[in-house]
Amino acid sequence: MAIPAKKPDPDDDAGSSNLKASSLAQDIRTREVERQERSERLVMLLALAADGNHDAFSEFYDLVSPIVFGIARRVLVDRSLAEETLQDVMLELWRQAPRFDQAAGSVTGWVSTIAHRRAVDRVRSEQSHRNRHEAEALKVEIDFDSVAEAIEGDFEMGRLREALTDLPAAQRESILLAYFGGKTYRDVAAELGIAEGTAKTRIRDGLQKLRFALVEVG
Amino acid sequence: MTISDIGDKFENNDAAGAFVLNAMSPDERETFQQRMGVDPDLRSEVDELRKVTEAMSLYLLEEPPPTVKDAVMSLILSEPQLDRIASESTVVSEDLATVAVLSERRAIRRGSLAALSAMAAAFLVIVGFVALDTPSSTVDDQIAAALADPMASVEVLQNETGMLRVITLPNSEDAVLVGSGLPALDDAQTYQLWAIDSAVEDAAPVSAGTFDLSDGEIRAILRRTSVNDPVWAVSIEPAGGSPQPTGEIVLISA
Repeated sequence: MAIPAKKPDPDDDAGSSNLKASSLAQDIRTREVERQERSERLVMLLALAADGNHDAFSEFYDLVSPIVFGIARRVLVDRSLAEETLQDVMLELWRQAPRFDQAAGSVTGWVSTIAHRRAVDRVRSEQSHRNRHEAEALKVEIDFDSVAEAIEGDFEMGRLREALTDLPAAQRESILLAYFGGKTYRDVAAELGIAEGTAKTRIRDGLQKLRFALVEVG
Repeated sequence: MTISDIGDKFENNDAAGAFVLNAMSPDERETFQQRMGVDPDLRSEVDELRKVTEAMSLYLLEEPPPTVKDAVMSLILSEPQLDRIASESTVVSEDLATVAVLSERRAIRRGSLAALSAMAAAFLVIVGFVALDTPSSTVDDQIAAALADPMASVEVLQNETGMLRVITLPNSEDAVLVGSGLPALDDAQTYQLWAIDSAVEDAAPVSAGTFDLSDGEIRAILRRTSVNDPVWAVSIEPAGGSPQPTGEIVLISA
């Protein structure tokens, strides 16, 4: 895709523009090199960990634990639950390290999938536990407003927050409830008062739009 | 459940997003995974949507307190079998939440893997029986169900002293290894399984993972890789494995 030419800046001469463009291109190359190096490092560390190397797993932990903890914190909110989930996930990664297949996807993708699934399982388990043991007055239903408020106030999310904001409201609501609220599509449908099929469609369509904003353009 | 049943339940790919966001019930998830095994387009869409959740996760980074790492590293040190068990049993669910559960399932898995070794010649029939005898919610049931699949493909790799069977299934990501007769290696070395695309000239081998001997036997479940119709090979590599074969090729399929 061709990049539209930037309008001339009267305060900017051609040499300066070229310098900025060159600097930007260099920055992109540098970041891509760093990402690739990090990816290769993770694969190597995981392979060593799969053979029982504790030092390698220690470094692997340092690199991926912010991903796992970040997901757990957003989904579970409660810090102590997020810490417990981080511990569970890291033990699971240690145990499953020999399963990792580089051809099937990236280490980061593998880690984030396991982390989110575990966090969602935990939030549903906590929800079920509370529903069984607490009075109706103490219901802890996660509604769209509380999830949306938390996301909007989370300035660390930067471009992700912007991408979510750019989604049509119907798709954004469904994705926020499912990804950050740990809701099933059935729960999403019930909460938003829509058909279950509509909830599935909104989630899928929203993810496809996010893909363009976060993956393809990225 | 038949493929037709699966198709009826998910008439189109709309559920792919809910699957990727873990927004399904466990039963629906299982059904969806079965359909993914027979629907490459659906699998491809899921892979693409997973790139979105991967990208999302990189905007959510948060440093955890150091105490958690201390606990994790301590638990690993006090459980020296974990890595070897992980090597043996790679068909594991992601629903383990506590160390206590880990220990419990490890005991179950030991039993199932011992059974797997014993049934090397007639594994399909025997595993069919195990599948009937195992609660549907267990990991062992997943192994048994996969091995009971009549579509299983068996490749035999053999040399003067050793033999290895590599069993793959069309709807599974696993490669089941059963064999014996290979020499024991020291701690600095490991066996590594490779898949080589038979349709491509000079294709680069793709690692399916490493495995070690247990009491002289090979009992491991690795990943089948994305290589279609592969030639399988086993090499001796430095501990932890190699990105590409560097050591002696000790077994290769005919």
